[in-house]
Amino acid sequence: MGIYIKSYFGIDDLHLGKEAFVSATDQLNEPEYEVLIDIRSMRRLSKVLKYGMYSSLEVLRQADNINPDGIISGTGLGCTSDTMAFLNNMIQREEHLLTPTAFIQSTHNTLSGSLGILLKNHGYNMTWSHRDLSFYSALEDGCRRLEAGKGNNYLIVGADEMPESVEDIIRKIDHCGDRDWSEGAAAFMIGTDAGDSDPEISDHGIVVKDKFSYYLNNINIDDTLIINCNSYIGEIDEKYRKIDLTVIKPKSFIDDAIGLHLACRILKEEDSKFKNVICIGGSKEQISFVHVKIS
Amino acid sequence: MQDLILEIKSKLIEQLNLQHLTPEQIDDDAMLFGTGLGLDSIDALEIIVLLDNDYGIKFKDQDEAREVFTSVRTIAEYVSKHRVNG
Amino acid sequence: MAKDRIAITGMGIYTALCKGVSQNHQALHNNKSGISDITILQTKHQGSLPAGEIKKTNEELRNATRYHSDEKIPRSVLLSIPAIEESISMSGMPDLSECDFYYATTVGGIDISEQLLLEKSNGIYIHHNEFRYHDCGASTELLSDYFKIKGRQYTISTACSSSANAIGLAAQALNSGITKYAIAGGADALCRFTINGFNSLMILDKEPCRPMDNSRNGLNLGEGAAFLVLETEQNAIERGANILGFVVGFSNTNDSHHQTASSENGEGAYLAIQGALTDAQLAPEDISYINAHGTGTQNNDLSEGNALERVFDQMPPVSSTKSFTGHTLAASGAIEAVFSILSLRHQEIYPTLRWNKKIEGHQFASFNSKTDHEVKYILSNAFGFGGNCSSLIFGK
Repeated sequence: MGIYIKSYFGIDDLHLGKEAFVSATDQLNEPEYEVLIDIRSMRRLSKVLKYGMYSSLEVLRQADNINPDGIISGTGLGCTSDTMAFLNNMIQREEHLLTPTAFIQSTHNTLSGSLGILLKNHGYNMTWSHRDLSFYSALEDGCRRLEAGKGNNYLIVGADEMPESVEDIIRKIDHCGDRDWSEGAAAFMIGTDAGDSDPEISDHGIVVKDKFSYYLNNINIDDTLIINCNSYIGEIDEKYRKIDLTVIKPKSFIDDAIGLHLACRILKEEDSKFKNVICIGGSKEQISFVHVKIS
Repeated sequence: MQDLILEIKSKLIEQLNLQHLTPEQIDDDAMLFGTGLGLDSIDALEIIVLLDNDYGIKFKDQDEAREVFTSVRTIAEYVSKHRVNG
Repeated sequence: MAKDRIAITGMGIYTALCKGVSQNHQALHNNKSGISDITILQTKHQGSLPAGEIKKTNEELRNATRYHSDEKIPRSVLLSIPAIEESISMSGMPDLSECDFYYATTVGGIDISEQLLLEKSNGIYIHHNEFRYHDCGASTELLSDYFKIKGRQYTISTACSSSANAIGLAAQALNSGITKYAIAGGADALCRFTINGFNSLMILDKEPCRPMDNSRNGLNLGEGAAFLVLETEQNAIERGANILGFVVGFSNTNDSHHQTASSENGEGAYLAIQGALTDAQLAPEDISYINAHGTGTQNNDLSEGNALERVFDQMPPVSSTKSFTGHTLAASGAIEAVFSILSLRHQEIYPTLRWNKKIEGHQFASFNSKTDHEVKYILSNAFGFGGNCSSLIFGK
């Protein structure tokens, strides 16, 4: 039984040119949100929610509005701007007379929950929040559920935001390094039904750091492109065709979602010579890979 | 009263993030909750805090507050009668 | 999951009642409440909002660990350590290299972050490095590292259903043969963020809570940690482990109604309960006792009760042990799992403390004193913000 990416959409700071040439842009390629999100709902939405919801709604629209069997999101920092807004307000007002909206929206599963409410979807609803493995955990969850016969379609979305105040703090944390951070989202409808030229998730998993070079050695170099989103693994050998997002763009915890979105676009470009793309993500110790291919 | 009504409209727009609306677009007697402006229970909590912060008005509970929150006019009339400060 | 039963071979717990499984059992057995005035957390709400607070400072908790005295470790991690230690020890698990870790938390290290921000606003110099454990995943990594758990790490954050989901998901992974062992559970600590957050929603009771009671007036927050060691029944038997109970059913659904309130007819809850029964291949009449989510809010208890009445023609005994511990948020699913296993092992059911009168509109009543009862299967509910509804079924 295969797992296919039936539709995909992302909001990120990348430009994809001819011959799979990728460069960073100065700002996110944001859509007209009002096209898919009711303007009255938008008033409360933080950026992470806007990015995640729009990407998800667009993916559903492309997939003929199938109501998925479940909604699974991955986010490294969750709704961090609402968290900070509530914390700062709490401190400023010395815990007196606080308004609830920021608190309500600060829970990590606000995105999955809001989508469930909006789509009147009573299905499975999960949120994973484990730094660089957040999106991979969500994707793996969806794949496992499909493999176990628990439904036919799942909406998987990775989203993160990086308000300036939080970036200022993160840059001063030792092991994070003084680098730029970015934000964005990517959503995917995965399912067991092979549509016309849908990319197939042919393999996915976690490789521990010691076994990573062994894994790389077993990749067919000829028609495979590697998109690296893991800043801990160091440079991948020249012999591989690769795009290193860790060098091209500022970091986010959901870079692997953005990488997977890029992989789908590259596979489906008409003049693309690649039939296989492997997206590498994860942390220092646990390196994730998602292998997508097109026939 | 009209000044207070306008003041409350501006405060609601700001507090509830209703940036797509101007005070002129909010009818004095339009239903705030359910239909009309389409506010919900989270907005009700926000308005309770707003009225306490800006006018010193305290409600016993949410049910008491909701009876006042029918329209901007009913809020303004209540504020006018019960305000402690602002 | 319906085919293989997943064995619980170890458990560990730390709540406002006590540290440790047998100590918590004593408290439950003796109807002893853990709700009190807040004294440890420095908040403006001391004296006005009761909570299930663990009466240990962070320093005292940290001194009982291997962490240095100058390390700022999230309180939820400090509470998790003795609970995980107890669960591993009880299980006699031979090898942590084949053990996956499913951890749940809502606040992660916010207790440290809020203190740092407060100090910064007061002009005190802070080390920004001390924000490094703010996010949820940081806690999971700290604990994996502390216990040298070598398998996969997962962090689930779905508000109040988080650790119920952690347990259910770990059980499903074991059933699929993905891993040999799993430690699953969660923790949340009291902090100003959650106290003020819930207070802004006007759903905190200024008195000790009365879940499932007609006069209920809100919830009390609590803190704590609990973990289960899980493996397949076959593996447990092969290595001669002592099996404490089984996870026999799990389901997660969405209420799809409102971010912080449940639908009146409890649709999400109804679907989760039905889903768990189907997963366990059980009928409603097989359930001996229900450990309700039962927070004490007007909305949850009415909605949950409605959902239960839709499922059960004959209602088994229902109670909420949040009357003992307060609402421990992400930890509640796992804490109530441990209580459910205690129920199964001792053939007794624990009450809703301070319960008096059934909710108007409901046919069923709860009970307010510990009772001996024949217990075969227990339904345990956990419902979180965002309409997240989870139900677990435990068996002997």
